[in-house]
Parts: sequence; structure tokens; C-alpha cells
Amino acid sequence: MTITAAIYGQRFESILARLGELLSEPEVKDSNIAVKLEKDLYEFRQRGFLTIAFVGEYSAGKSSLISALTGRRDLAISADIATDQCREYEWNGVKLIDTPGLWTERKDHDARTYESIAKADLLVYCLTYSLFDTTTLANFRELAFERNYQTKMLLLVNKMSAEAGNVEDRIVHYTVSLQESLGPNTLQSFPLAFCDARDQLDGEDEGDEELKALSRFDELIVLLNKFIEAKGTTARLDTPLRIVISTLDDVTAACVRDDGRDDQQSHLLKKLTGVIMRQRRALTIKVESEISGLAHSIQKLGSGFAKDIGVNPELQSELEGAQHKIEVLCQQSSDRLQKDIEAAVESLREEVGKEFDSPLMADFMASANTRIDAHAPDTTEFSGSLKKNVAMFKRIADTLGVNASKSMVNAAQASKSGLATGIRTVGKWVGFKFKPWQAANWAKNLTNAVPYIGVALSLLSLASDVASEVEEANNEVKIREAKRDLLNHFNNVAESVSIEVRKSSAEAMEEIYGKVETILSEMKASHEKELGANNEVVRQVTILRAECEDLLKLI
Amino acid sequence: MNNVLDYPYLLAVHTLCVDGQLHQNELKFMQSLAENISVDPTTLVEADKILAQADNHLNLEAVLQQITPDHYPRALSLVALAAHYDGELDRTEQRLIQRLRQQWKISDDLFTSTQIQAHENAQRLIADLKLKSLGKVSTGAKVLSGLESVLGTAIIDQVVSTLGTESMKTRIQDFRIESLLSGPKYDKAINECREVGLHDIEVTDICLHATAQAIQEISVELDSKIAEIHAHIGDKPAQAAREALSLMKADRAEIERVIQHELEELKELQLKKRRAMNFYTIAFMGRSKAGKSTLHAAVTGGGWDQIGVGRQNTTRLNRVYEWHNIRIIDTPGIATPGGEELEKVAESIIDEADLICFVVTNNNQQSSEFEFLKQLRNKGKPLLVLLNVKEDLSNPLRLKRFLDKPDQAFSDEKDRLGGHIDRIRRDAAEYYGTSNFPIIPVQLLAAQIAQQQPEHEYAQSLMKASRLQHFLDSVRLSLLNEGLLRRSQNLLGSTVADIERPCNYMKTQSNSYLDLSKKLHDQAKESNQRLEKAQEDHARQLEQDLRNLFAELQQAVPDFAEDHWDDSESKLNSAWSDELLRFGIEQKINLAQENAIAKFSEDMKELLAEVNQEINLQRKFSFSSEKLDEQDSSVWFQKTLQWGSGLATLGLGALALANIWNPGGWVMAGIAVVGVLASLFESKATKRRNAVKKISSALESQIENQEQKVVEAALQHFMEQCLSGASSVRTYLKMSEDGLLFVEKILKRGAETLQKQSDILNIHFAARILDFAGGTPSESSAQALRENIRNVRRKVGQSIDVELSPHIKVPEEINLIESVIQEKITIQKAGA
Repeated sequence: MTITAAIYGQRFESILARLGELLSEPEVKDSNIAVKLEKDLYEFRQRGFLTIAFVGEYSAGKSSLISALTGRRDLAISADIATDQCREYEWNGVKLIDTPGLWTERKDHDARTYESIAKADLLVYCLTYSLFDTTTLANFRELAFERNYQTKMLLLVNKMSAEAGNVEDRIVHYTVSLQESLGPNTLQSFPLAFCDARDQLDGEDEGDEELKALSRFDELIVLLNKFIEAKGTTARLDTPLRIVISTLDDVTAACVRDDGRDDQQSHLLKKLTGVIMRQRRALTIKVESEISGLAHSIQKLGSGFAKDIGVNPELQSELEGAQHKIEVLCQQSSDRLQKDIEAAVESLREEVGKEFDSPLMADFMASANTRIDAHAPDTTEFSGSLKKNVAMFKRIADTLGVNASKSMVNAAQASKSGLATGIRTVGKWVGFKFKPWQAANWAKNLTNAVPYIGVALSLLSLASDVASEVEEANNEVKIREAKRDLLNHFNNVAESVSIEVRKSSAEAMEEIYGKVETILSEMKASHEKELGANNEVVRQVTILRAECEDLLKLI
Repeated sequence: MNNVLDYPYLLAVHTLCVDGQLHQNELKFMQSLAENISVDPTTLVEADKILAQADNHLNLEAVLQQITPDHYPRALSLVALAAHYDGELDRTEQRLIQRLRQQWKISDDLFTSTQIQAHENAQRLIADLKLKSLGKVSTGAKVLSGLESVLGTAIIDQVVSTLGTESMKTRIQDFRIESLLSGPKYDKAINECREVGLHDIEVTDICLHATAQAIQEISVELDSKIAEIHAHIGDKPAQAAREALSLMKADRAEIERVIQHELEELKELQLKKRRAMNFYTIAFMGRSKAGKSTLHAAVTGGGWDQIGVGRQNTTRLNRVYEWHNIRIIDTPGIATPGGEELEKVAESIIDEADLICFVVTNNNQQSSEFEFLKQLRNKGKPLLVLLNVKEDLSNPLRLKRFLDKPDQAFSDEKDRLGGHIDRIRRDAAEYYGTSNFPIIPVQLLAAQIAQQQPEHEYAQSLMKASRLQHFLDSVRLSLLNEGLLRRSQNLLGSTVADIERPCNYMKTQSNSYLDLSKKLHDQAKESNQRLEKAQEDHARQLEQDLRNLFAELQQAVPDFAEDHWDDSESKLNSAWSDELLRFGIEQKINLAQENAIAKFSEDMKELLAEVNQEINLQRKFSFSSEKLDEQDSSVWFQKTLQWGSGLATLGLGALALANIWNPGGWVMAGIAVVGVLASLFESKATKRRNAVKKISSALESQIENQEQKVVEAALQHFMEQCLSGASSVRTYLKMSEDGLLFVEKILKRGAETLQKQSDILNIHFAARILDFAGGTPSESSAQALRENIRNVRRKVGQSIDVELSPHIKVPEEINLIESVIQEKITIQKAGA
């Protein structure tokens, strides 16, 4: 092994080590990708032979060529598709693989051929005098330039005896046409052979040396040997690299996400979140305006009383009735709130129900379903997360007592179960009672709380023309303080009533919206995390793939 | 050297090639033209290269560059003559002539007179030619020799020497179309074909004309609708309506693009069918190097030097060989790398062909070949496969092996030819839908050697071993026995496919417009509800904000009253004004109002973004499940973009609305304090207490009053803003919906008209089939049958299902016809 080869070997080992790390990431850990990699590498190390795969369109004469090379006559040769399996034959210490032929309508053949290609060190690409057509050319380009076999490929034109004309002239013309087809890539990088395997076979069988000469097989064998000699050493690194690349493909496949579904899920989450947000907002506004209305009424009551201090002789008795008035206000308020909340629950159920009825939601639920059915349950992370998301959407529907998806249950069943859950849930919320007047239970201690009120009230009777100026000024200050205190007192009552109502409403709203909000934000967070984690793995795969391809071009 | 060349003549040669067809008469015409205007030999060499489209030929641009202005008139008249020579101008010829007219700035008078002149000359020349070619077989040979002499000097000697030996000539002609199809039987068949063609082309013409008209009407109606909306909007700044209109305009542009293309195709098709009417046309098609040109040379007896040795893409034009009313056309290969243009040239002949002879080799069949067969099938073309058994017989050793066992090459064993035939049938059944067509194996090289080297010792046995005769027999059969029906199949049956294509496009499009308009309708309803709710919420919030504001103001009243109880009225008022200013009531009201509108606007924007995404996602998912072809998905993608931009702009417009809102008039009025003056009998304390109370009460009710007014006005203003925002959304959605529905309607109507045309053609075709099956076809019996056909359901290239009046007898041999038209035929009696 040369020094260069040793350096390449080191680079390969480094790639392999990093691939190992990548395979221990949680996204791919559960799959059997690592096991497959181990197995393929093990098989490769066991083999020890240099391997050449014969590939090309069906009936290009791949089997005939191998038969003619190895002298074996037990290969199935046919004008129709003949080779079903990839078979290996030995020739001069080299292993030749016969492949079923590419780009037939038999997709299973293609898959098998690509498997063989991945295990082969060198390729012989077989064409016939028909040369390239658009399909074969596209596939040849893919092998040579996309999959980077360009330095490890020999291009062979078989069936030379089928067309008329001087062979040397035709070789010149074929070469021109091949070059024209391959442009802008150059044909020169591929060793080029022209032969006729059938002539060689018939010549052997009939002992016809002239026919054997026409086959141009001697030229082919010389070319093949040169090709093996030139590419053999470095080509030994090629196969393990391809195994690594195919592992990277597997990792990508495991991480690949359906962008459309991702968009759809984000959109559905966003819409549901929007519905809940707007519902909560509407109720919050209602509650808040009820609270300020109530507070304003209480404050107004207070300011009415305050104005009367020192003016209205009936104030004392009127003030005593204030508690009752406030209690009535509170009762009216909480009755209205009760109705508002009941209406809010109904409206929430209705709106969320609409979302669950939307075609997009139905499509999402159904598609997730089929996907789960189609996959084995433990194949990829993806189907698992989809399943989880569907389950969570269903939990939202259950929480609110709406029908999760019409497409999944039959109509009668759905409406029955939906309705039952709905009533129970509503019942629970409606049972919630406000008791703001507890906070308003204050008037008993009115005198204690506001010491100046008593004074101010007694002052009223004392007020007379005979009172001294000083006395009067003093009294006015006291009355002003009493007014302020009375106002403050009513303000405090309004404040504590507000706090009480707000607290109770917040509890009710938490009950109504909180659970669904929690589920939604959980879903959003896990969706974002999944996307992030996948992106990281995909990024790593891209880096490793680029390195593999670099190395492939070098060897 | 170059300046010696006769460039106007070379330009005329290019004109002949520009339509992708090279007719043997055109070659003859160029030759006599060359004689008439004494074209020099160097120019003729260049002309040969152009005709062969050789690699080193002078291309059109190069020739054009060399023509100086003083040669323009002559060049133009030569070009016009060449273009008119093959009958009506097709689009490629028209394009070239129009281009010259503009580039050379030809005056209208000169242009018109040149055209008329050319047309007359061409007619005269065509008539001359017809006169000459009427008559005996031998004139055919004369035409042939003319063709060959233009093709190249090298071949002349060969052909002349071939024709020189009388005995050889007879023998070779045995395998030519001329002798093959001569005689009274043939003349009768040809005459019948022509008669049927005359009737059928009339029907086809009417249907194609009606189709073109219906398609044209669509763009006219779209235009007038757009103009109508435009007039309706006028100069009003109706942004939403404009958005909707621009969306519709974009749609019109897309539809226009497609239907203009269809119109051009239809025009071209009409020309082609007219041309096809006069001939029984057989087109040789297939991959490069399959042997099409060899076959062409073998049956026409000329053009051997057109065959390449080992190279791909040697035939670059459709070479038309015409004899009496038969045309044999050699075409460039399909699916050759870099040969997309050539493939298009080849495909352009399909519409004219009555029978496609698909040439394949015993090598292998590629999926590209079957893809091509699918295309033929979709056009309802009958097929004949010639399997060229390739082996290099130019090598003496192989020749000997071949002649020793000539039948081995055609062996039906699996590892020989049999395997190939099996596979062709199997793949054809899958791709082409049927394998119900003849496959005829021929060793074309053997036939070529026999014809090119008549003195060859094995010439006769080679010709026999080639089995070319099998192929010629089936061609003869197809013409004599089936020609009549093939005629109708080409003119009537295949035309249906060309009408169904735009018809299906319109149907699909119209459905997708309907679908989109429905979705929009639903979205519009929901959007409305949501905006109403948003308005309600934000109005409540606004009211609450304002009421809190006034409650806060009320809190300032007691202290104010205490401080100012004995102020004079004016002093009191100015103090209150100061108080209000300090409180900043006006700014606070404005802020609350702006807040509310901004929030509503935000909701609106969010809603529009959601509607946009909802519609796009919905369409994406419903479409992905329906599998539409590429064209439709591209239209859809454009749609997505339009939606995005249209709605986003609307959202921004609403936001701008909030920014420019500037309320005025919330100024607080002064306090009207009455009865502050105290009674003389009250003590000062009593006076003071009463004054404070009165001021407080007056202020309180004043504030309450103001509160009521402000809240009312603010809510009113807010509602107006919301409604105008919501209505622009509504207008936009409604107009878009209406626009979509309108497009849907006219596309549907167009599709119905087209459907009618294809029904007419199908009924005529069905009548021809039944008439043909009856054994004694005639125009009058076909007419009678036509009147008794109730309904025809047809899948072009697959099946035809005819419903007949109960009393009509169904011909027994109907099943034999299936193999002629290569479609499944079912006949039903009405009511049965």
C-alpha cells in the first residue's frame, strides 16, 4: 500500500468514527441502521476479492460477456429479461458479478442491482450498438457523476456484429456519438471497449477462430487487465466508502420529515391557540368590565354619602342601608358573570368544535392514522411523534367535550359520547359560585373603621351661627377628613370586591382554558424540539457525506 | 469563395426545411428552380448539405447575413415560392416570412404582390406536376430519378446503372410500392379512400372550427368581464376590489397562455388534416439507428446515402416520399440524447399519419420507446411494428452463416427472436394498453444488400431471406382492406383526442375554480363572524377603558369642590379646565380609541394570514390526493403566490387606517354651576357645606353627561372603522369568489361545446366503423347508420362503446374491426 493510500485509509477511519457517534444520537439510535452497517462492513472485510459488477440495460449481453470471459456455459442467457439474481463468478482471481440489468420495469431488479453496485469495487457498464438513449444516458450520468463511479467505470459496447459497416469506421462513429451524448463531460476518462460476446461464444463452441477474431475479445481482455491493475489498489477503499454513504442515506431517510404535514400541524396548532386566546380574551374583557362596573357603582355610592356629610340629617340611617345595597349590586354582578361564563363555555365548545370539523383537521387526523397503520409501530421516530400529536389533539377534544374527528368514528357514536362528556364538563363549571359580598360584609364595623364619621355626624347638629370662627374652621377640617375617609372606605370595599371577583374568575378561566392551553403549548414545544433535533442530525449527515464524496473522487 | 454562392437560393432551400418536412416534390422543385435560374455547382453542394442538415451546413442565420439589401426582393420571392409550394403555409413558414418582412422592412405592396405571385406560381407548378405524374408507373420512376439526382451525385450513377439494366429494374421494382400497389384493385381502393376522406374532412373541419371558436370566446368573455368590473370600480379607491381584479387578471393571463397555445395547435391540426385528406400516409418512426431510413430506402428505392454508418441522428427532417396517393415518411429518431428538437420534428407527423410503422431492433426495447407508444395510443393511432433483425451481413463470414440458416435469425426460441417478441408484447400490453398489433420481423440489411448490389451472387436469396415481403404484404393489406377505415380513424377518430385535450383542461380548471370559490365562500362567512366578535370584544374593552377614565376623574371631584367652594363662576370654570388639562382627559380618550382600533386591525391581519394559509394548505392536500398533471400544479403554485400577496396588502391597508385616525371634539364643556349663592340666613358653615355639595353634584352629573356622550361617540366611531375594515375584507373575498365563479362558468360552457364536437366526431367515426363492418361501405349507408346511433362513449386509443337504435342489425364481423382500429368495440342496443 502506498503512502497516499495510507492517508486515505486514515481519513476513512475518521469518517467511520464520526458516523458511529452520529448513530448513537436518539433520533436514529432505535433503528437498526448501525447493525446493518456493521454487517455490511464485516461482509466486505471477509471477501478479500476484487469485485467487478457488470451493469447496464437489460439484454445488453452482460451474462454473455461473463460467460465468454469465464468459459462457463451455465449462465441463463435470453433475449428477454434473463437474470433474476446477482450471481458471482470467478475470473483470474477477480470476482465478476452478473446483475439483472438496470431500468427494466422490474423495480426489484433495479434494487438488487444497486445493492451489488454498492458492494463492487469496479463497474463495467454495458451498452450495445444502439448506444445511449435518453433513459440510459440519464442513468449512466447518475452512476458516473452523481454516485461518483466515474473513475471506476469501464464503458463497453457489445453486439458489435449486429450492425453493418467496416468495424474500424463504426468504432470511430460510435465514439463520436458517445462523446456527443456525454457532453459536457468527457468520454476520455472512461476506458472504452467494443466487442461481440455472442461471436466469441459461438466461435468457441464451433472452434471457429475467424469468428473469435471478429468478436474483438482479445482487446477486451487486455483492456480489462489494465483497468484492474490501474484501479485495483485504491478501489479497495471505494466499497467501504459506499457502504458508509448508503448508511448516511438510511440516516437521512429516518430523519426526513414531511414538510407539508409539519406545516399543517403548525397551522392547526396556531389556529387552535388562536381560538383559545380569543375566547379567553373575550371573557376576560367581559369579566373586567363587570368588575369595573361594580366598583364604579360602589364608589359612586360612597361619593353620594360623602357629599351628604354635614348636610343630610338622615345620613346615619341611609348609611346603615349601604351594606344591603352593595350586596344587591354584588349579587346582580355575579348573576351576570355566571351567565357570561356559561355562554363562554358554550362558545368555546362551538368554536373548537368547528376547528375539529375543518377539512384540514380531518385530513391531519386521518393521514396520521394511515401512516401509523402503514408503518410497523416501532420503525421511526416520526410516526411515533405523529401518533402522539393525534392523541393530544384528541385529548383537547375530550377535555372540551367536542367530537375529535368525524372521519374516525361513526356519526351516532361520536355524537353520543361527545354530548355526554360535554354536559358533565359544563355542569362542573356552572356549579362554580361567586361570593363577593363576603368581602362587602363591612358596615357592621363602619364606625370602628372610620373614627371620624361619628364625630362628623354629631357636628352636624352642633353647627350654628354661635360657633366660633376657630371652632368652625376646625370642624370643617374634620368634616373634610371624614368625607375622605368615607370615600376611601368605599374605594377599599370596591377594591376588595374586585379582587375577589377577579380571583374567582381567574380560577374559572383556568378551569376552562388552562388545561387546553397547557396541552397546546406542550405540543408546540415538542414539535419545535423535534424539528431542531432533526435538523442537527441532517446537518451532520451533510458534512459526512461531503467528506465521503471528496474521498471517493480522490481514490 | 463565399461571395460566389447564391444566397437567396440557399435561403429558399432553408424555407423548404423549416417545416421539418422534405417532400420529394420539393426536391424536384428546387432542382428545376436551380436549372431555371442557373445556380452554380458550388451553391448546389451547399444546398445538398442544408437538405441533409449536415453538421457543417450553412445555417439560416449565416445565409441571412450574406444577403444584401439589393437582393431582398429576389430572395423574398424565392422564399415565398418555396413556402407556397407545399400547399398552405404552416406556422413555421409564416413565422419565417413575417420575420423577413420585418427585418428587411418590406413595403406592404411589395409583400402582398410577392405573396400572390408566389401562390399562383406554386399552384401552376403543382398542377403541372399532377399532370405529369398521372399515368403510368414508369413516370414514378422518373420522379424517382429526379429525387435521387438532387440527393447527391454519387448516388446518381448507382441508381442510373441500376435502372439501366432492364431485368434488374423489374426485379427491384417488385419490392417497391409502385408495383406493389398498382392495378385496378388499388385504384378503386384509393378512389374510395379519397371519397370517404372528402366527407370526413368536412365534418372534422366543422368540429375543429367550432372548437377554435369556443376557445376564442373564452378569452373574449374574460376580457369583457374584466372591463366591466373595471368600469364598475371606476376611480374609486376601492383597494379590495382592485386586489380581487388583479387576481382575476393574473388568472386570465394564465388561461390565455394555455388556450392561445391550444388555438395554434388546432390551426396547425386543421392544416395537417387537410393535407392528410389527400393521402394514405404511413410514417416510419422509432429510435435512432433502428433502421427507419433503410426501410424507407428499401421501399422507395432511393436515398441510400441518407443512411448513417453507426452514428446517431442521421435523419434530421421528415422525408416525404409520395406516389399517387400514398405517402411514405421517414422521420428522425426518438429518445436520442440531445435530439429533443429532432424528436419534435418526428412527432409533428403523427397527426397526418394513417398508420404508424414503429421500427424496433432485436437488441432491446427501452422504456423511452414505450413511452412514445403511449403517446401514439393517446392519439388513437393504429400501429404496425417492424422488428429489424440486425446482423452485420457485410461481413462475408456472417453472410455465409446467415444464408446457411436463414430461418435461425427469425427463430421463435426464447434466446433468439422469440424472447424479444414476447417481451415486446408483454411491455406493450402494459404501456400501450394492448399488444393487438402485428409484429413483423425483417432483416433489413439483407434487403439493402440485395437492392444496392443487384449483381450480388446471393441478391435474390438475400431478398427472400430478408422477409421484407412480409412487411410489404401487410402494408398492401392495410391499404386495400383497411385503408377506408384508417382514413376515417385518422380524420375523425384521432381528432377527438385533440379536442379532448383542451376540453379536459377546461374541465379540470373549471372544477378547481369551483372548488376554490367554495372554499372562499366558507372562509368569507367565517371571517365575517370572527371580525364581528373581535369588534364586540374590542368595543367592550374600549368602553371599559373610557369608563375607568371617567371614574378616575370623578375621584378628583370632592377635593376640587372643597378647594373652590367660594370661587366665582368664571374662576371656578377656569380652575376646572386646568384640572382637566392636568388630568389629560383628551389624550387619554384618544389613546384608548387608538388602542382599540390597532387591536382590531391586528386581529384582521392575523385573520387574513390564517385564511390565506388555510386555503393554500387545503388546496395542497386536496390536490395531492387527486394527482393532477404538472400543468395544473403550476397554475396552483401561481395561485398560492397571488393569494399571499393580495391578502397581505389588504391587512396593511387596514393598519394604515388606524394610524391616520385622529379624533377631535372630545373637549369637555365648562361647568354650569347654578344656585351657588347661599341664602343670607345660613351660617357660613352651612353655606360652605351646601356650596361644596352643589359644586360636587353639578360636576358629577356634568362628568356623567360627558361620559355618556364620549362613550357613545367613541363606540360609534370605532364601529364605523371596524365595519369599513370588515367590509373591505368582505368585498375582496366576495369579488374574488364571484370572479372565480365566472371563470368557472365560462370554462365549463367552453368544455361543453368542445364535448359536443368530440361527440359529433365519435358518432361519425362509429358510423364508419359499423358501415365498414357491414362489408359494403358507402356514404349513404354510413349516413343511415349515423341517424341510428344514440350515444357513443369513447376512450381514445382504448375503447369505443356504441349505443344503437333497437332495430339496427349489428354486423357480425365487428370483432375483426377491433384489430384494425386497435380499440375495443362494444355495441349496445338502446333500451336493452
